[in-house]
Amino acid sequence: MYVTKSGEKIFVIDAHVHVWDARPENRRNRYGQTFIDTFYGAHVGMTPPDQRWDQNRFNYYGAEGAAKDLFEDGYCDMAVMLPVYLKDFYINGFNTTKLCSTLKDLHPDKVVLNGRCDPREGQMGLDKLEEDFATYGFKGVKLYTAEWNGVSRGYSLKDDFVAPYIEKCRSLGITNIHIHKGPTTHPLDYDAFDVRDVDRVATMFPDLNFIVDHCGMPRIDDFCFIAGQEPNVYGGLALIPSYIHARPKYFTRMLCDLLFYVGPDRLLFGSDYAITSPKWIIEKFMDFSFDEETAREAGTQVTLDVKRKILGLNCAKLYGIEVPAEFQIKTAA
Amino acid sequence: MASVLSDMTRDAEVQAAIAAVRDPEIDETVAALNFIVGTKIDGDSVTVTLRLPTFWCPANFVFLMGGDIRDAVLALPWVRNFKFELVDHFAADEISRGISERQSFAQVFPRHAENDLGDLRLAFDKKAFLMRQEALVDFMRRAGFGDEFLIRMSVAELDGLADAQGGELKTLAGDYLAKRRGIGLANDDLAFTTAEGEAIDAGALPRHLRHARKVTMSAQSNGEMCRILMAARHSGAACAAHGFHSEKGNS
Repeated sequence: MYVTKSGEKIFVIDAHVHVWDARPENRRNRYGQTFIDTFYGAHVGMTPPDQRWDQNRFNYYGAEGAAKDLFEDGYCDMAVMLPVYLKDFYINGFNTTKLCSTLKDLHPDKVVLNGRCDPREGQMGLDKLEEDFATYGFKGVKLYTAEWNGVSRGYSLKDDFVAPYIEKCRSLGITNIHIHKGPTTHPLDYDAFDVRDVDRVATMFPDLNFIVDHCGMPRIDDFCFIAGQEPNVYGGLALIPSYIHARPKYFTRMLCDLLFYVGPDRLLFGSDYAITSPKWIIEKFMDFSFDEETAREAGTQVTLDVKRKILGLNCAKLYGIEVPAEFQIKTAA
Repeated sequence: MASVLSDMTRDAEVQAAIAAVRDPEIDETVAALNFIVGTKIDGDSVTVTLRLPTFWCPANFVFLMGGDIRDAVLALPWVRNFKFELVDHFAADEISRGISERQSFAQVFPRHAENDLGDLRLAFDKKAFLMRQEALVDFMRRAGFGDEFLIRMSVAELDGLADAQGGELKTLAGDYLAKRRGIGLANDDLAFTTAEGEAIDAGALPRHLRHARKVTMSAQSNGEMCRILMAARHSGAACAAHGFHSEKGNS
C-alpha cells in the first residue's frame, strides 16, 4: 500500500517479479553468465546510485530478500511471479516455479504464483503443465518465446504446436497468458521482437487474456497497434517504469503513447524485480505527471485514478483479486 | 615513417567511411552508439571490431550493420582485404566469419534462418522513413508551413526549398529524401506520403504524424536502452563474461 501525502491509499500489485538463482554454481555455461550480466547492466544503468546492489546479491537474494524488497520496503500489497526456466543456461533453472514458490510459502496471501510452459515440449510438456497446475493451481502462465531449448532458438505463437497448449490452459481455467519476447527467436532472420503473432492467438482465444510483457519493448509501436485492435491484449509495463529515474523523458513518451493507444484500463505495473525494485519506482511514479502538451497527446493526465488502475486495480481484475473499497476509484468511472 | 603516416591517413578514411553506418533498428549511427571498439590497418587490409551493448543483441541487425560496414570499407579504393570482428556476442564467430567472407545470413545460420534479411531491412527502413518524415514535418510546421501546403508539395519542390534555405532544413530534408529513395518511392511524386507511397489528406495528416511519433518514440526509447546497457558494459558492471573461462575452466 502506498499512502499519498493527502492520505489517499493506493493498492499496489507488482505484476512482474522474480526470484532467480544466477549464482556461479548454478550456471551451466557462458550463457548463464552473460544472461545475468545483461540484467545486471540494466540494474546498474536504471537504478539510482544509492539503491544499487552488488553483483553477489543480484545473483541470488532468495525469498526472504524478495519479501523485504517487495512487501516491507516496496509498498506492494501483492506480487505476480512469472517463472522463466532457461535450463539450457542454468543447471537447476533460472527462475523456476519451484523457486518462485518459496516466496509464495512465506506470503501465501500476497503472492500470485504463475506457471510456465514451453509448447515445443509436445505431450510431455502438456502433462507437465497439468501436473504443475495440480500442484500450484495458478491462473496464469508465462510463455517465453525466446527461450533456447536444445537446438531450438525460440518459437512463434503462430507455430502450429502452440494452440494445443493454449487450449489446455483454457480447459484448466488458466485465463492469463503472459508473453515475453526476446532477442533470439526462431527464425533468426525475422524481427525477433515482432509481436504480431500475439494478434493471432488473441483472436483465436477471445475469452483468454494475453499480457505482453514489457509492452513488446523494443516494439512498443507495434504492440500499441495490436493492443488497439484486440480488447483481450494487455500491456505488462515491466521495464518501462524502470526508465523513470535514468531516462524520465523516455518514460514520459512511452507512457504517453501507451495511454493514448492502449488506454489506462489495460496497463499493468511491474517493477521487473529484481532488475529494478518497486520502492523507488513507485515513489517516483506517484510524484509523476505529464506536462499539458503531453497530457493532450496522451488523451489523459496521469491522474490519481489512472495511477490506481495501473498500480493495482487492472491486475486485480485479471486475477480475480478482491480489492477493499478504500482503494477503489471514488468517482463514477 | 612514410608507411606509418599513410596508415594514419588510411585509418582516418576508414573511420570516416564507417562512422555514417547506422543501426537499422533505431536509425542512429554506429559512431553515436559507440559500437566500434577498434580499427586496424595493415597495408591494404582492414579489420573493424564491433562490440554491442549486450551479449544477446539480435543477430539479424548486427548482420545488417556488419554488411554495411564491410561495404563502406571496401568502397575505399585502396582496400583489398576486409575482416570483421564481432566480440562478446552469442553468435560472434558465425557473424564475424559470415561478414568477412561475404556469406548471406541464411548461409551463416542454415538451421535457424529461412530467408535473407531484405524484408527485415525494408520493414525497418520504412520505420526510419516515418521517423525522418515526422522530424522534417515538425520542423517545417514550426517554421510556419501549413498542412495544406505540405501535403501538396512535390519532391522536387522540397529539394529546391531545402537547397535555397540550407541549414537544418537541408539536413533534415536530405536525410528524409535519402531514406525515401531507399524504400523505393518515385522521385516525381508528392514529398510527403505514407511509407507505401499513398497521398495523405490534410485532415488525415495529424493522425498519420501521431502514428509516426509513436514509431520514433519506440525506436528512441530502445536506443536509450542500448546506451544504458552500453554504459554498463563499458564501466565493467556487466562484462564479466571475459572472465568466465578462467573462473569455471571446463566450459
